[in-house]
Amino acid sequence: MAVFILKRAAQAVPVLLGVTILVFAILQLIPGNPAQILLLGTGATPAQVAQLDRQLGLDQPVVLQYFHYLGRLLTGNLGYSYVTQQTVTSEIASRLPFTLSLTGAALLVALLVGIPLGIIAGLRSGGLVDTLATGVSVLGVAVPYFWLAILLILVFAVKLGILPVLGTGSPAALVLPAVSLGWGYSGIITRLLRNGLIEAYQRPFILVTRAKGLSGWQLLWKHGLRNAIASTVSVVGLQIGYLLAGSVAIETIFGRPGLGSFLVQSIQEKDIPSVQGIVLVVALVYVGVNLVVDVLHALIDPRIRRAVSV
Amino acid sequence: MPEAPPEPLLAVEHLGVRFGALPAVRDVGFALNRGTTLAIVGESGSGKSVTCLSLIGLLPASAMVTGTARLEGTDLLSATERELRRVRGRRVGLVYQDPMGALDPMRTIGSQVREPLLLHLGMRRRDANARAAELLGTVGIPSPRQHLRAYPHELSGGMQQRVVIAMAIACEPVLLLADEPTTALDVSVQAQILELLTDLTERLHLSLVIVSHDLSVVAGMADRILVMYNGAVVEEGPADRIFAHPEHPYTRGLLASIPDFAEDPDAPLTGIPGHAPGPGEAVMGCSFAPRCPHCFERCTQDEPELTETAGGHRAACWLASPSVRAPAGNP
Repeated sequence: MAVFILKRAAQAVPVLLGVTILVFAILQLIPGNPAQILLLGTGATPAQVAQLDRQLGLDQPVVLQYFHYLGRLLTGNLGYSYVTQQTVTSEIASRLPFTLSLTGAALLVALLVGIPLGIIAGLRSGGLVDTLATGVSVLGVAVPYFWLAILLILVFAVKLGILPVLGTGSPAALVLPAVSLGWGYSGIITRLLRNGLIEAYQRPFILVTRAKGLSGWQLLWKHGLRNAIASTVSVVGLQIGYLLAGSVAIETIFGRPGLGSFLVQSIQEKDIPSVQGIVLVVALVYVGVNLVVDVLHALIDPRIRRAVSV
Repeated sequence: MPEAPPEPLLAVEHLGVRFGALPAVRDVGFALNRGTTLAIVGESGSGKSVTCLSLIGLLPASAMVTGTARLEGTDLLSATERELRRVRGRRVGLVYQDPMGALDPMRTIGSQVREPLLLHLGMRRRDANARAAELLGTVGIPSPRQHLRAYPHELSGGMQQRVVIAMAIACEPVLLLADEPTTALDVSVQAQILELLTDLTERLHLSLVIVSHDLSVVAGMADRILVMYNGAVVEEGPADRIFAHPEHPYTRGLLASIPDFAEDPDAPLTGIPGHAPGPGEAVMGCSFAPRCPHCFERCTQDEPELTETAGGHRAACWLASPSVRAPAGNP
């Protein structure tokens, strides 16, 4: 198992390198040059721009600039925000907990809704409960989260007044954003788990295991779920990007501080180092989550373990 | 000296299975004595697997089962799910076709063989582990201790079927149901598995119901043979009599279709022309009549009943029926 984790982690390295190249390229691809953007409207002379260029190392060859950038990254230095002059690392560190609590809560909502619905729908496939659960999950995937967010605000905050819209102080303030973001994701989980269970229950080992005298619950718990989840888990990992991307819109709508709203704000203010930093951190989280998911998948399914470690 | 026949271990009477409006099994009856082997033979769709699975209530929920099947006096067909759970794995073991799919791919061999021991015998884990290793040894798996930690995909099909057999006999059941146990295996492995089953029935004094589409598979091991066609029993009797004097033209067709390449490597393959009626397809009279080489007028009008022709040998054919055989003097 340790070998599996090491190999899988080693595979993440080229992915992360690729991400740094793309993030670095953002700087090269935007029109104009950063020094000009920084000094825009200050009436700076071309000589002053050239001096700043030298200060920022922008007069050096691109490849050399990339290696400098990589070297800075390795020491945890993401540069300085053009807007606040603070380190990007500290800007991100102050906002990351809000995004993590939002996506974590959304994931919790998705699992709490998706797993029971998926199990019921899978075991009673074709029945009324299945039709309802499948309908709910289709609706969850089809309805855009920003629309759902506005609808939920209207109903629970404006009309009923039982939940706050803005703020980060109380756990209650997390409910509406988490539900808005997690609802669609729960639909994905419901579908995957339902199909996984239906597929598993058609396999002969279910019949043979029932012939050993297990009850329906024992069968589901010891055999059915494990087989269904093996196929669900890997897709859930790939879809985690759905939550990260969704947090951008949700944080903006609910006025929450976080990486998503920081990203929108940084783009508007052309704060390139911040944009680069956020993209890099989000990519890191995504790669990390997928690493964890792959390890989980291997823990559940012995065939995966062998396929990689041989 | 005539002896009172022993109480059969399993007595099936008027077993019927319908899926909605479609009958799958009609009026099947047989008795199985302790320590003996019954083979249920027929082509795909004849209802032999359905008969087998109906005994332990493992048919899909859409199946309507009627009749009785008394195992040591208690009827399995009217038993509740709770009661059946104490029968499955404890008193009746199941060996299934397709060994490659018969084990949970996510769990070790050990945990799957331990399962019935923990469930029915209340063994402690350590004891169950020792017993599981012993069982793997019994079914001929080398170095059983190591194999307890193996996963199904690490074993060959034949080895997987041995594990399924080990699970089935774990709690020393009185009856083993084997549904096409060798169909998915190589011929050489087939012989080994059949030998193992025969050996186990003798050693553990098990009764065995083996389902097969191939008469040659069951030839060496069955005490009695039940031939099914289109969901009904067409012939039933002692194995040696069925092979020596098959009464039903269908049984004769099945026997004729076993190629004997040892005698003549160029022997032509013979089959039974035509095909069995599909589900729900109504046939007037005998359902085998359209394919029968001896079909006459009566066969297409009345369905023949299962009638005893000689000691313990029954057949459902107008030609085998005593009334047709001895027509002399009949009006």
